[in-house]
Amino acid sequence: MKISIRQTTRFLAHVLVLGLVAVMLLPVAYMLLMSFRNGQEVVNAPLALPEHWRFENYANAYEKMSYLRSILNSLGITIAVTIAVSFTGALAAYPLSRSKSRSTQIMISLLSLCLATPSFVTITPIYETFARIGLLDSYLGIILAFTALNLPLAVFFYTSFIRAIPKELEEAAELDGCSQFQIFWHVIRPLLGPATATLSLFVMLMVWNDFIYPLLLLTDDKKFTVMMSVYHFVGNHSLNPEELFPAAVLGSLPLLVLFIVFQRRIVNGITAGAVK
Amino acid sequence: MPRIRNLCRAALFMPAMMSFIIVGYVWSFILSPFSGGLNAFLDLMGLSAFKHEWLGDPVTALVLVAIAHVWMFTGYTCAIFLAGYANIPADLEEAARLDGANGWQRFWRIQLPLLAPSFTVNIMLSTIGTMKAFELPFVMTKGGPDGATQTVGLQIIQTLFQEYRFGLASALSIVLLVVVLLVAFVQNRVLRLREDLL
Repeated sequence: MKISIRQTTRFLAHVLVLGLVAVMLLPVAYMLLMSFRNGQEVVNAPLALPEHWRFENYANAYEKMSYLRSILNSLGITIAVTIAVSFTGALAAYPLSRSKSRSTQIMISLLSLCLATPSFVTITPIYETFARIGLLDSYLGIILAFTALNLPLAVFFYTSFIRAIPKELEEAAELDGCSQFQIFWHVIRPLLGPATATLSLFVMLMVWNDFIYPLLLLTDDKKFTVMMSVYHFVGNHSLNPEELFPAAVLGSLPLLVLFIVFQRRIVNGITAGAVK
Repeated sequence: MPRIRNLCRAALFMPAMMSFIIVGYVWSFILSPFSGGLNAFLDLMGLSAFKHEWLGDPVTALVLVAIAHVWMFTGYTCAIFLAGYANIPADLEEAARLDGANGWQRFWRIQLPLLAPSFTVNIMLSTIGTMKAFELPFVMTKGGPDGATQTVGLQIIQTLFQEYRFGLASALSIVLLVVVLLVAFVQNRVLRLREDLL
């Protein structure tokens, strides 16, 4: 069999690309491998592979982080926020995508202002308000805060999505005597599935990975989200590898598993969200 | 080829799915002076002379916090570029090939200009995202050494959590917001103009 120069260079190019990607993955591999070693072993030979696979690191982290509890907290908050944000977001987006009046335009530019606002700009007002009405350290408080933070994105997302839905559908429903809300509920809402799926991804990423809002709003460790437990377990002063790495792996695990399963959908959803 | 592409895309994207806290912790440990991975690697390569207290030196601390940031979001940026590539019509590429343009020429003359919208999105997302960044310095360096990695965002968080000066924190946030909006506005104008010119 003959191999042409072209094929060889192509093969070499692939090897080069895969090599570079492997280098990018080194920190992840490092995290995984180190999580099975104890502190003394890491000090003695910082780069050695694990000699004994110390699963007890994980057992320890699992217990001290109250891992299951914090996973359930994060999951519950994600679900509640997704429901709240998709319902209110879609309701707001429907008129915004259909009306062309001046006030609508102003509303839309205000929304894009909200999109550019760093999340900590709203921390102080949210904290002060919640302190006054007794929402600190409650699930309801953190759910409301995350809903508010995700709402501009949701409205933006749904607005562009609803614009693409042909108006004829609504006109037909209107002739049949449907009210505006009935049109929304029976015609528009059933079509929003894909947009809601992508949106829930963004909500999920935020709820799992953000730690400033939970840090400020939650003090009871029974209500901690996953990242809060990681932060509390590992601390911030001396980094102990046999605590740090298992906690890091456990903390990233749910999202990474989800990512591996829905890889294509997640990347497409997030890039589409960014491009719009 | 599509297989390799999807594999690389997924692998590169992975860090963006991790939390800042975890990325910060892992990188802090890699860079730690005694049992950290980077110094051990330099030892292994016989480059012990380059060993360094990476996060203890103002210059390298800032550079390495930036590198950790870049590491996290490279895949995200790539994914946006890949989506841009997918939007380039295949017949343009074909026409250039027939006209005898080689790979480099096709890249510089056809693909790069047509990727202008992806450049706009990526440049804007990374500037806005980085201007409000505080997470990695918060975890990795606490803004030190000697303020070398202090960002406005971190200043706000510290004013809030350590000094409990809510008014000052709010004022700083508003200033940052105005600056971010200004930069975003100018960038958007300039980059859209660039898209039209290309």
